Amino acid sequence: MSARPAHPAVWAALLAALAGCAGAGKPVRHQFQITAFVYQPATEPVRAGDTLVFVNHDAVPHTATAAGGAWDSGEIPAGGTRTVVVPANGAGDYKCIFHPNMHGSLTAAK
Amino acid sequence: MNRSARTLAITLSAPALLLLAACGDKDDANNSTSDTTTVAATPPPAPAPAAAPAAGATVTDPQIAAIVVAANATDSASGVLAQQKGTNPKVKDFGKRMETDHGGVNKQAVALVTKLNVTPEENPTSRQLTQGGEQSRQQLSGLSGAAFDRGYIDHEVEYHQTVLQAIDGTLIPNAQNAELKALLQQVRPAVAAHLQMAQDIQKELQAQP
Repeated sequence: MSARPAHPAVWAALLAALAGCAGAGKPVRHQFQITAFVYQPATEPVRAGDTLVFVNHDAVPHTATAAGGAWDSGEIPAGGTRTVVVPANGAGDYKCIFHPNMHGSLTAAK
Repeated sequence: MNRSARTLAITLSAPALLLLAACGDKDDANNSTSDTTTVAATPPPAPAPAAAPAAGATVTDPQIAAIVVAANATDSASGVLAQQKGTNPKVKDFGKRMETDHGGVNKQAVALVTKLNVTPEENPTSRQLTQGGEQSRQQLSGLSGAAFDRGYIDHEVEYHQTVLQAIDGTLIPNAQNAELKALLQQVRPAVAAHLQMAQDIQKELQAQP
């Protein structure tokens, strides 16, 4: 018995599904703007392995530091940028250790 | 705050702060002046509040620039003193933060006025901020240990409250240049954050025996 070739539409659907699977695991860059002592966005869904990019538009240095200490941008100088890779336990609240009333939050992306 | 601590706070803060507050609200300034006169048992040579701009008086952009520079330089210098004389680690850290942040804001302010070709114009408020700051630091220098920590933090709370009031009531409303106004609006959250930080430390210090 000879195998019957799959219809092109079936192949297209299979390829799209595979592409979708690959995309789910690919690290994503998330950019955060710090302006007037506020992180924007204030809440962001992330996965372990994603990269956080903090851009400080203020005239003073800030940090983005996980409340539990899982990750820390270090000092983000005035006008500077720092990146952090999200660790496995990276979701949760974070703040600026220089200005503790500055808060942000990472949630676990589904 | 007990009466002696309150007296210290008002005495220390008055020289640098009264005139800035006077720009925005005549009644508040008069009340503060009265407090200073009443409580200063060993009165410092407080700058004359009468030299302040009249209540409701407009301040020009060059005058605002001078006030911003003076206010930041004064608190930055007090922060240096706190790092030298403070004993509580949070007080020392706060002093370092004031030196860094107010220094950073001043760099931004100077860059802006240079770009705008505005020459800061000294005025009674800016002069009193500078002179009052020097007097406050002189008084704080005579304190040590926990007395210094409390005196400095009480001063910082009142200082930032008054600066915030001046930003909202006088500086932003009077700023004519859009970029200068935007700078003041950007600075405001820093002052508000500093006030919150100082109040938090003040509470901790007050809770200590």
